Amino acid sequence: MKRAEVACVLAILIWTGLMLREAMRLNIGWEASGPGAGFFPFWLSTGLALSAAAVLVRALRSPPTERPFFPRGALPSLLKLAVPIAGMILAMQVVGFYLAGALYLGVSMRWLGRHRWPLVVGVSLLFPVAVYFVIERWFLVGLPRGYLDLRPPF
Amino acid sequence: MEALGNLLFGFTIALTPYNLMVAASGVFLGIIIGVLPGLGGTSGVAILLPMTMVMPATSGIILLASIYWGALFGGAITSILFNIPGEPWSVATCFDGYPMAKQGRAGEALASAFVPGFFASLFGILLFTFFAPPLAELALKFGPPEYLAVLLLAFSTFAGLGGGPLEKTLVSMFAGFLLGTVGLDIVTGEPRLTFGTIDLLAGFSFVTVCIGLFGLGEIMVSAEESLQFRGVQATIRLREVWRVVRSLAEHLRTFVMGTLLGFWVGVMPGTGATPASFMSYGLAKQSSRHPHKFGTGVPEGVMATETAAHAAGIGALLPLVTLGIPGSPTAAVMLAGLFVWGLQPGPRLFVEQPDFVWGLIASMYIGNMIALLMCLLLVPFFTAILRIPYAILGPLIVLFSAIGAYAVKNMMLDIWLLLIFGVVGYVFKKLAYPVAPLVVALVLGDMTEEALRQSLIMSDGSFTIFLTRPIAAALIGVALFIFLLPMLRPLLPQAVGGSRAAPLSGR
Amino acid sequence: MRSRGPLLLWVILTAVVLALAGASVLAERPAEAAWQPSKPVEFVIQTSPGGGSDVYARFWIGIIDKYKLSPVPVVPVNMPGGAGAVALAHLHSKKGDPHFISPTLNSVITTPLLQKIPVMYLSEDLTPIVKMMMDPFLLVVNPEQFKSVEQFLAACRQQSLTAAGTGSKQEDEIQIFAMQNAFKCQPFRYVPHKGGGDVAKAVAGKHADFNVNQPSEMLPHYPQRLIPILSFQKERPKEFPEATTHWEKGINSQWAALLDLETGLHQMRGVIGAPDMPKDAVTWYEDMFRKVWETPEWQEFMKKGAMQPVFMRSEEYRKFLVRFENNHVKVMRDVIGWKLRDDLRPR
Repeated sequence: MKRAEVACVLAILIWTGLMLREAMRLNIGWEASGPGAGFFPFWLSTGLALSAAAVLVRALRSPPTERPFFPRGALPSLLKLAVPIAGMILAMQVVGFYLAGALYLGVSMRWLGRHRWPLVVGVSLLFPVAVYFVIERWFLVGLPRGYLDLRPPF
Repeated sequence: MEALGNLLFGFTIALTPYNLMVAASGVFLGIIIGVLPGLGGTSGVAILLPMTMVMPATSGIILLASIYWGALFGGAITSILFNIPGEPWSVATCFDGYPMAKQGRAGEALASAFVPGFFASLFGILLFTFFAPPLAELALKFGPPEYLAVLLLAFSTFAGLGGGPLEKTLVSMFAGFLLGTVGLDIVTGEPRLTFGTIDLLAGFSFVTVCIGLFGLGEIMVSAEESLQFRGVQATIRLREVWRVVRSLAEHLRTFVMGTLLGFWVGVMPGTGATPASFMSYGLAKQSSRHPHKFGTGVPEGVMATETAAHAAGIGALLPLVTLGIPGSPTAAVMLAGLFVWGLQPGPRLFVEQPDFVWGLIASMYIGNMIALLMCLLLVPFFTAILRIPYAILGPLIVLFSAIGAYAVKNMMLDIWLLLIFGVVGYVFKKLAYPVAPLVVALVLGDMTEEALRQSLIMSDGSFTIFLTRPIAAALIGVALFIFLLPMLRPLLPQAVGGSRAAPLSGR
Repeated sequence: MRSRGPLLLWVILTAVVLALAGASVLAERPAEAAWQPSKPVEFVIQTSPGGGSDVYARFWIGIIDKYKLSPVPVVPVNMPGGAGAVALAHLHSKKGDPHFISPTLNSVITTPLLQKIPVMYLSEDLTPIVKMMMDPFLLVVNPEQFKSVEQFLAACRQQSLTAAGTGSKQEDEIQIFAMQNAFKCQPFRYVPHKGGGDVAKAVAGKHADFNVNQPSEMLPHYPQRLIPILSFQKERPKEFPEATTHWEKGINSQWAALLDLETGLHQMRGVIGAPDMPKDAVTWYEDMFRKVWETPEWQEFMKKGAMQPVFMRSEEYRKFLVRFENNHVKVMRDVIGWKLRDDLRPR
């Protein structure tokens, strides 16, 4: 838990550093008629860095706890969830929402839920069709088509 | 009682079978749009705008307004059932609604959203019916300094929101503010914190961040547990509805405060229901006898948020009709409608197009009533969704969240951000960083900076502008009082021993 | 349950979907003479729903639907952010694809001159299609503060007045700066706001002394709280005969030309397309938008909003844009002294 705490603070600090560097490119001072464009980004980043440092100090001082960040068996099931999502978004970049969504749904149902094949196939085919008609046709909201610019064949 | 006569005239228009049908279908569409995350009332109204061109203007506005009412009701449903805010203004509904659902009190939570929301709408419509022109005059008196004062008021009510260790609350808050500054600076037109990219010029969208932090974060937390939604039973029995109605009397202060606050923030152009919902939640928590219970599933939390959101939704239409200024983004789309139908908003609209104005006002009563009934009837259907096995439901939620995130700006970047903020939400939850301050800072932060900088340009950089303008000065005084209240309370004689300070300083 | 059959079925079905999708991609390349869109047209909008150009785009889409002017749906796609930068960059990336168009407003001229995005000059880097109208600027004040332009000018030479406008470094601010120079006023305070309605409200509620705004933004408050005292065109607008023209005020003619509706700056609404749009596609859009322009709805809308009903086809619009862009560069860089993007191509 302590290690996770420290790692999280370090990640925040790195991000803050990047933001601070971006903010420095703007006018961080106070002009005649109020704060410059960079004033708030700069001082907010500074405030964030200081608060994160305070978290770090407290975390380092606190006694190590027995409780791990990931309870037993948590990491695998977490990865089982997150990796398919990341994969789906990657696939979406290429083949668009419908195919990527159907595949993701199918994989999750089969792999995580161990549902029977007919159900898996049925749901993952029905889903894109339903979404296409409701979201894209009815509500006129376009969905990602990916680099291949795939469109439903109807 | 000229207004009463006009209102009756309005009902003769709104109650024609065609207009009733239009209202009912609008409400139904609105509920669906409200339920789908990211597809907000604003896009719903915008999508149907071209369709209204073939309708008479009155039916057109009834359709658009009814979508809005439906979306206001629908937004609460996914917040409560899945911790996914269907609409920006129902983010605060998650805070207590979702814990309630997890405890098996989804039905009660939904009733606590719908019923007070309906009464708040009703209250707002009454104000609209009888006081629209003077309220519009008052709204004009609110310039940038007054906006800043109102926003400070919002922040003051949130002083005790954290609930985590102080430094973690600060981290969360600063991060939210910082994310809010990304994009094109409104005062100088310069890109800020965009790392030279074009996609970031648009800034971080509140919807994406919220769906990620709350929705996806929650799915990840439950993934490590058992891939199950636990103990959710949710049918609304009539008894439950009745109990909520009766509890309204108990929480009268929360209800009235939320409604008035929401209505007024709605009337102030450019703010909309979202800040109102946060303010009302914060105020309800601060003034509660058990503030520490907020966030663990108290019906007042849901009630406070939803009353303010609904009242603000009504209020936002007031400056639209009377001044031609939209009170919220959704109202902005409706304003477009007015132009499309060849109408000129403003005071003369009441004189020149009485059937339009009073038909709209009458349809507000009817639309909200239809929305309440429809929602109560649809609850069993929505809760049946929870019985879908998790391995199907989880991915479906993820996919709908992706649609929602993408729909805001039509950018793939937002879908990636969804995943990133999902991970952030998960880590924050595990390490006890409170998430609410981040969200509030993100939604109110850039508005506050804008109001401050506009005010200072007006005064050539002098802060006296906030003291010389009576409304601004008074509101800032109230904000300071509320902010200091937790510290002052021990000094007040009657409060000795009874109250506990807000858990800001707790660890 | 564990048999191989369902798996096979799944694979086959996926393959069928893929094949059909692929086929539909291939089928989209008809080579006929008279061009027609073969897939839905995307109307890429620079603002969120309800924003300025969103209203126009959805209005035109409504007309197109109502009169069935297009064989395929025209779909609004909102890509807000960066004062149009995001939408422009997207449109630019669709080079040669005639299914992407975008409504124009003035920020599509000013933003590419300031931000380093793939588009720099609209007339060169994208395909101008049609101009649908000109929206004139009026100098608008609160009648409780100023009754006439003489009063206003006397006051502005005495003290710094506060102006409200939409956005930063965009058309409103440019017009206000140009006016300040032309009339030799004390430097104005410029308070940027989010949209035209807010700008009108700032003056109606006396939080600012004046704005330059389009008639339609002023009309809800006219004549109780807002009145036009100066119009920037050759002749007084017939809707507001009380508004003196800036030509009548005897200012330097070079300035007068820059402020003028015809030769200088104004809000314009039109349509542009992706770069290198084929000629026959441009013709198709020109004809369609001409029909939109002629509908009673659009004519009535322009009349109600006191707009100038002009229509320009692609070539004429391109020529207009070249001049319009040059005017902007001149005022923004040479008069006001803003720093434009450092890679600006000289013209």
